[in-house]
Amino acid sequence: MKSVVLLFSVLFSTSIFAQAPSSAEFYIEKAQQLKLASNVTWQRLMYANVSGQSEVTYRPFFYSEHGQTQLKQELDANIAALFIPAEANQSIQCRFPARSKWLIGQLNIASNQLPKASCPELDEWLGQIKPYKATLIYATDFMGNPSSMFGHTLLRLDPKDQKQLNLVSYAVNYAATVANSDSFSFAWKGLTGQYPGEYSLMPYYRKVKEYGDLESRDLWEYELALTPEETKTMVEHIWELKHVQFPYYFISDNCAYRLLGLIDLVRPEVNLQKQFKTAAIPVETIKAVDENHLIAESVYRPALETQLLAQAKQHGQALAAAAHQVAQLEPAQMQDYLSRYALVDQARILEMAYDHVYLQLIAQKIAAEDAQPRIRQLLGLRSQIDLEKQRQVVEAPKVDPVKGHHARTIQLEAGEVQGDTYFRLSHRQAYHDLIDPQGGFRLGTQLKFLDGSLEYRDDRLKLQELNVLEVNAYSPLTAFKTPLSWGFNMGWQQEALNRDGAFSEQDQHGVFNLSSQFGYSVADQERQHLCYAQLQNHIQAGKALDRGWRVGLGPTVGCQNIWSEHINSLVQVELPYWEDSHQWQVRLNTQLQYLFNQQHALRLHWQYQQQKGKDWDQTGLSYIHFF
Amino acid sequence: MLKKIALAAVLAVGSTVTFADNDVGCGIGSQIWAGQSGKVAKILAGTTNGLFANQLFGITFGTLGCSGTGTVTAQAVTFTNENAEALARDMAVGEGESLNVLAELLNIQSGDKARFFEVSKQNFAKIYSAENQDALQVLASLQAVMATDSVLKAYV
Repeated sequence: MKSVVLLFSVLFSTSIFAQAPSSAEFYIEKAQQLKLASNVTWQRLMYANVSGQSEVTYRPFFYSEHGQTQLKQELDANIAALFIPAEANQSIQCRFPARSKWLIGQLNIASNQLPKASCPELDEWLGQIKPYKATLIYATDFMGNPSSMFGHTLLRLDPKDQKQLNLVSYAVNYAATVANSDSFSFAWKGLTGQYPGEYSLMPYYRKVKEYGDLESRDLWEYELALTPEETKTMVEHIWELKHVQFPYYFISDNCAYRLLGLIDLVRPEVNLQKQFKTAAIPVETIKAVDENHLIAESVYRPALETQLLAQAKQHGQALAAAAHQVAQLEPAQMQDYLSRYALVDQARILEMAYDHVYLQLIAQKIAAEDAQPRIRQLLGLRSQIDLEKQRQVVEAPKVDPVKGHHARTIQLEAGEVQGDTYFRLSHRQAYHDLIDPQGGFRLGTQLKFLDGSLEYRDDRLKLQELNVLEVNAYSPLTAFKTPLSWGFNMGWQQEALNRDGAFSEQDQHGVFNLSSQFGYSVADQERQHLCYAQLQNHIQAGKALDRGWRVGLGPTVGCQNIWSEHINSLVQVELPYWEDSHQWQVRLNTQLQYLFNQQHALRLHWQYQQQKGKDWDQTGLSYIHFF
Repeated sequence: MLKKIALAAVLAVGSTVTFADNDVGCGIGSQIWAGQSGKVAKILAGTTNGLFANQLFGITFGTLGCSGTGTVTAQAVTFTNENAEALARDMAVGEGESLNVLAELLNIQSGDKARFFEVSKQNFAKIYSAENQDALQVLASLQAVMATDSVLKAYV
């Protein structure tokens, strides 16, 4: 096929008009008059960048020899190609159906003027997908993997009136193709666009299994308010991208950014991509889609683990504990163990036990040969109980992620520190903090990227802190598992230190700080209150420190509480033992927040530190805006 | 019956490679199948791997709703294979999204679905018996059970 394309390209580039029938010339002229080459849809079909050249490097994407750099020439070559008879599947109408359709429509070319295009491959492909509706799928954030900490988006293509069959709809995924051997260089390559990004197509159930079962990520499905015709054009354009690769950047040119481009293509009046040139956080891109009134409906699809926890909440801890127990038994002992429970409770226990064993199996916590007989027995016993399903539909969280707070913040703060008045201006690039409005986010996750503040005090302005990256995943213990709660932060901050590195009540000096913490957390079943206890270590480096560095180690505990729709709080205590001074230090951080709505809030702060009888005390009030 | 399903699966695998897939299984007699049972494992392994390199755009299963009754489509085999856990979970309680999808893929009329759900639950132990090691065997057992039911036998 490539050779045919090359042949075409050569023909057109050398003697384009001589070869084409006269009507092609007429339409090339017409395209010139209509200025189609500068039309936004042509530019988008061609992936034109700011300098008017295509981002696509895949040669067969173009008909003109210099198509990548000369989009006007490419347009002419495409029009000419429309008039050239071709073998089955080789016509431009088969290879670039969206492009062809647009050109034919804009130029108003009657179908009898064009050679008949026979496209069995494309027809078959479209016939299988039957695109009628497109649904944007959001897989919520997952701290277990650096590339999915901000969540992921993909697109599902649904046929008409087949809502019950969404699992067998096709999903379009844009992702980086990563060689398995890359582990250490993964983040760097991902940030610098060294992986190729490609579209792929698969049944949606594979994605549900991958995200919902394997990674315990809830899915949100946003049906797009596109017409069937727009949806079809979008799918035809995806066909054009077969074999096309773009450099994949985790932060900017990622899955979410590319999917916005598909929407932009069929809606020339919107420009969703424009807002996300520097960074495209998946959930933020969906908010932009929503703001353009492009979401018709949203559906919540809870992960399997979410379903299991909902059952535990619904049936009570005692039955959940029994389910955990029965899942450990040999298949032959299960019936005997269950007989002490009423029939309905047996059904509940069996349903939870199955979900639990299956989750353990896919997490590779138990071997398949141990799991299979148990699974069979649990389900077999359940099937013999003549009661309907005891699992209830999991209620969707009150706040849809699309309605949650934005990732960027600006914060103004005033207060008193060690008897002095201070003012602070803070800004964060992304994404979510424990004290932030929790609606639309998973309780116990924290991901802060480029979070800094400037402080004005005593006629001096100074950088108070600059967090480069802070990640914390507090996964509460459940009746079924005891996950580790872990985190780290890396940044620069002011510490209450004098010039000699001793704790000070007057001075502050800047240090680079690297902390990490590991431990456990607990939460209530409603997931409104979460507390943790961890062991934490700090490594700090700075000129003021005695040897230029110091190490601290100690426990840390904290609680994150949602008291009402408008009020939440955070209390954190750290107790590091500093090896340079051989002293324990108490560090307390408390914040109380009142939400006007998800994007505006007031906060009361109190920070207190004490070391060897000296202390550092700071109270403040701030206003924070998310945007 | 198993042969019929196996044939559908063979065609299903072929389709992941060639990008093309028609209403396989529909209206094709079982006599074409030559009883090469050793291929079953290969077939099932094949249905899960259609996604690499030049196959990124591969269509993995046949069309929905092939006309007529009495045969298992490639899509039903693929779906049963890749969703075994969710299907078993649904079957054991006699309802659920995955089981409903399977009912659709087997062309069960909406009026007969409740019956299908009930029968598959009652016979769960037979359908997901320890001897049934893959989707083809599971589907064959399901069809064997359906064949003994006065209503569902029309779909076998």
